[in-house]
Parts: sequence; C-alpha cells; structure tokens
Amino acid sequence: MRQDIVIRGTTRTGLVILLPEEGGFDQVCQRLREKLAQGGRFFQGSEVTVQAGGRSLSEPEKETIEQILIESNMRLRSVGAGGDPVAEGQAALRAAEQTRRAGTLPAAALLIESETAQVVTRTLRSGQSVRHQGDVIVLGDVNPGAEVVATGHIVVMGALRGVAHAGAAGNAAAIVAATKLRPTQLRIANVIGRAPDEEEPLKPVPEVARVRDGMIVVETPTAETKR
Amino acid sequence: MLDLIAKVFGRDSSSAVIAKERLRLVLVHDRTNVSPQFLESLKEDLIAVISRYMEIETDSMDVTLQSGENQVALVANIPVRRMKRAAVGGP
Amino acid sequence: MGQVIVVTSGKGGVGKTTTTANLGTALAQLGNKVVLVDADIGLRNLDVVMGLENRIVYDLVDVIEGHARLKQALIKDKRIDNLWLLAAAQTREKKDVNPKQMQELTEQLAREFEYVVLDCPAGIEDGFKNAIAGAQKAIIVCNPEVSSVRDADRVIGLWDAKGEEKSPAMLIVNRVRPKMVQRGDMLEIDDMLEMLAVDLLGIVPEDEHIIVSTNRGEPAVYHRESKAGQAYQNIARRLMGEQVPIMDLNADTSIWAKLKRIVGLSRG
Repeated sequence: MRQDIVIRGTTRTGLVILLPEEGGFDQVCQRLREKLAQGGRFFQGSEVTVQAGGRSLSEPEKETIEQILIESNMRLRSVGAGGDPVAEGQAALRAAEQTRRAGTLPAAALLIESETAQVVTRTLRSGQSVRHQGDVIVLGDVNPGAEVVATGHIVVMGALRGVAHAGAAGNAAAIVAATKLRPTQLRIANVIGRAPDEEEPLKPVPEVARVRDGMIVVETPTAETKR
Repeated sequence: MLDLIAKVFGRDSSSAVIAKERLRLVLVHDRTNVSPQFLESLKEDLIAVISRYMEIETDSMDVTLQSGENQVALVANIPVRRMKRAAVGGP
Repeated sequence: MGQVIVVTSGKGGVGKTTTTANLGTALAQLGNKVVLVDADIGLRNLDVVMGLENRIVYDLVDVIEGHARLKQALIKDKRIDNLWLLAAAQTREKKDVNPKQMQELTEQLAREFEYVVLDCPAGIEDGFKNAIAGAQKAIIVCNPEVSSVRDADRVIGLWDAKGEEKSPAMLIVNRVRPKMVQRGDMLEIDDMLEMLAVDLLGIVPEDEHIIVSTNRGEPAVYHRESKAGQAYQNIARRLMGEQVPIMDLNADTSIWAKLKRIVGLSRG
C-alpha cells in the first residue's frame, strides 16, 4: 500500500508521479508541493504523467494538480487512473507464470514464445556441455556426464541420461522433456531433483519434467498422471 | 615342449622371472635415461679426470648409456692424442 | 589437522579409484571422519563407484572458482554418516585448477576431516601435480605387471622429488592372482618391493566382487565375502597405525583343500 507520493523517471514515458492510495485530496496536494519543492530545479521543464493510483480524480481536482505542476514549471501530459506501471508489469508477469505453472498452456506454445532456441544436432557425450540463453533442443542423446543448461526449456529427442538444468536464470515454469527421460539429475530454476537410487522401469513414452508445488514431477505429456 | 622340459629340469624360465629381469633392466634404464645435462656433467667430470693422465680429443668424444640385451652400459668413446708421463694435478 | 593422502599410480586402470573408494569407506567404517576428493577433473568416476553420481550439484572447480562454498559442494555418503565426497568437474579441464589452489583446498578440508583421500588422475602431468600438491602421504597403486611397476617407479621418483615435508610412498599391490603367483607367472611381491624400494601397505587380490560392486555403486568393503574388501579393511587399519599381518593369498580355500584338512592330509 503506497502511502506517499512517488516520483519516478522512466525512459519511455518521462517523469511519472504516483499519487498515494490513502489520504484526502488536500493532503495529497500539500505533499506534492513539498516533494516538488524538495526537488528544487531538478524537475523543472519536464513533462509529467500522473498516475492516480486507484483514486478517481474529478476534473477540478485534475486542474488543481495541473496548477501545482505549472507552479513548478512542469507540464502535465496526462492523468492516468492506474498505479505503478513497473509493479503492474511485474504482477502481470507473475500472473502469466502462474498460468503456465498451472499447465494450461501447451508446451509447444511456450516454445514458440522464445525466439532463441538452439538446436543441437548431435549426441552430447560425457564432459560436453551446452549452455544457452533460451530453449535448447537436442536431436540426439545426452549421455551421463554431459550437461545442458538453458534459461528456457530443454527438449531432448533422444535419451536424456546426463544433467539438464532448465530455467537456469530462475524461470520455474521451464520444462525438461525427453523421449527417454533418465537423467542423472534434473534442475528447473533452483529446484533440484535426482534420479531414484533404485532403478525404475523406463516408461516407453516421452516424458516431461516440470515444477509443481516446489518439487520436480515427471509426467507423460498426454495423460496428466503424476509419478 | 622345450618349455616343459626346461621346467621339468628345473631351469626357471617362468614368465614371472622373465618379467622380473625385463623390469630390472627397464628400471635401470629409466632411472639413468636422464636429462642431457646429466650426461654432459658426467662428460665434464670424465674429461677432468682423464686429462690428468692423457691428452684427449674433447671435441669428438662421445658419452652415452647403451642398453643391450640384458644390461645397460656406459659407453665412452674418447680419442687419445698423447699419453702423459705422470699424472698432472690431483683431486 | 587431518592427514592428506593421495592415491596415485602413473598408469591408468590399475585401481586408483577403487582403492580410494574402498579405503575411504573402510576408514569411515572404523569411525574416522573422511572426505574423498576426486581430483580427476574432466574424467570423474569416484562418484559413480560410490553411487553418488545423481547428487552432485557443485564440484571441486566450483569451490575453487568461488561459485560454491565447500560445505555446499560436499556430498554426504548414503550409507555412512562420517563419509563425504567432493566430486570432480566433468565439463572442465585439469588446467582449470593449479597446485596452489589444490593445496589451499586440501588444507581447508584437513581442518574438518581426519582423512582427506585424493583420487589422482592417471599420468604425471597437470592433474597429477595438482593432486599431490597438498598431500603429505602417497599411496602408490600397482599391478604385478611390468608396465605398471615401471610407471609406479616413475611416480615414486616424482613423489620423492616433491620438496616439502612428506612421508615416503607406500605401495598397494592390486589385482594379485594367487594361482598365477604359485604358477610362477606373476611378478612376486618381494621382487617388486625390492625393485621399487618402498614399504608395502597391502596386497589386494583380483576379485570379481569389485566389478559387481562398481556396477552397483557400492564399495566392496561392504561385502564380507569379498577378499578384496577384506584386504582394503586391513589396509585402512594399517594406515591408522595398527599392526595387521599381510593377508596370505596362498591359503588354499578350495573344497579339495578343506577335505584334505578334514581327513588330516594337510600339513598346513
């Protein structure tokens, strides 16, 4: 809950003044004068967008704010109803990630989102390592001792027996998929899962690993059955 | 068949003995097969000692370690110009 | 301060990793706090022999380069509480580490552990120099065959040439086949010791249990019936200063010999 006026410079829209969500209008005006006075000549001559931050401003109120700005040699570009654009952007991203995590988007759609998929057209042997910003698709196997690290998803069209780290920059919505999913160790964002010590029979179908409730789970892409 | 007879008559030619002999040779060689500096300093010392007794051709002399079938030998080929009547100088 | 012991051989494939795993496990079974360090960067194997390959998150190079703290990189053994592993990096090279860094690392480990056992890579190049850098004791693993003894001799020479304070190298003769020794087709231990001029730490017989235990990722010292496992237990006790007689591999345990004993034919 924002209780004071926030003045923020952005590269796209210039100066943004965020009004507090609490307090009477007179109080807000008072605070705005003080803030601008504190800034001295720093704000002079700039064009300002005011975000009302949830409160609805009447026309006279908008004019009052404009007047205050003019007194400080500033021009009002527009008054918006919204809150902090940065915070809102972050919230939107979080929401999108929640949606992905819930599995409502098919994996294929997620892949297309990333522009920078790297396709590896060979088998990765022990000691070999592929690191990539974006998704990685391996047309071949990933042998024990080899590793694939990607900030996005990892798809192996073959046997994954080595180490795969998807979402390496922290994206917990990343997935690891393989025709034969037998990794030594899987990491998604900062969650680590390792192969069970006892061998389990391999499912004869491709499998997908993703994070659910902070744990890595392995599922078949079609039937949503947890192992 | 010969092997068998050899064994029966107690001549020891088992592979362990062969291995041991080969190894002994190899180790001597390995331990002596040292840097050129080693041979060079050996050569210097030889020149110093031999020069007390005879005049030698130091430029064309040659000092090497040679391994033969079953031994390692130090071979020094030192052309002598002239013998001296008595040893000159001492250690 | 704990002891830092390097297990080395010069030649590859003589059983360094098996020795490190079994000796370390045996030392831990005897109540010591032990850490095994895989110094074979780029060709790690100790993790697989210990059955811990799926638990590696950080490795030795991560610690040296400061990507992880030592505590984070130490992997606890799954069977014994006081046994730990520091894995080698697989996707890196020997030259990513230098002897001074290894010395610092082993010093740090020796403050926490009673035994720091390093599995040295084959060869006598950078990896070897790194592995011996921080060690005060060296165990030379050697098979009773000409090429292995020759390489052992070379390594002992290099160990002797290492300036600092250290104890003389100790020899483990591994993969001894008693029947071949009896037949005169295997180098005799005494001859090897005489030629190499080192002290004997132990003799380990060739044992199929080793292969089975490597398959399972479970050192042979866990298997009571394993002769090699028993030999490694003896070696661990000798390292701790106990007087344990060298195992008599010539003891014939065949059914025929037992039968002879029972009917009183045997003089043994």
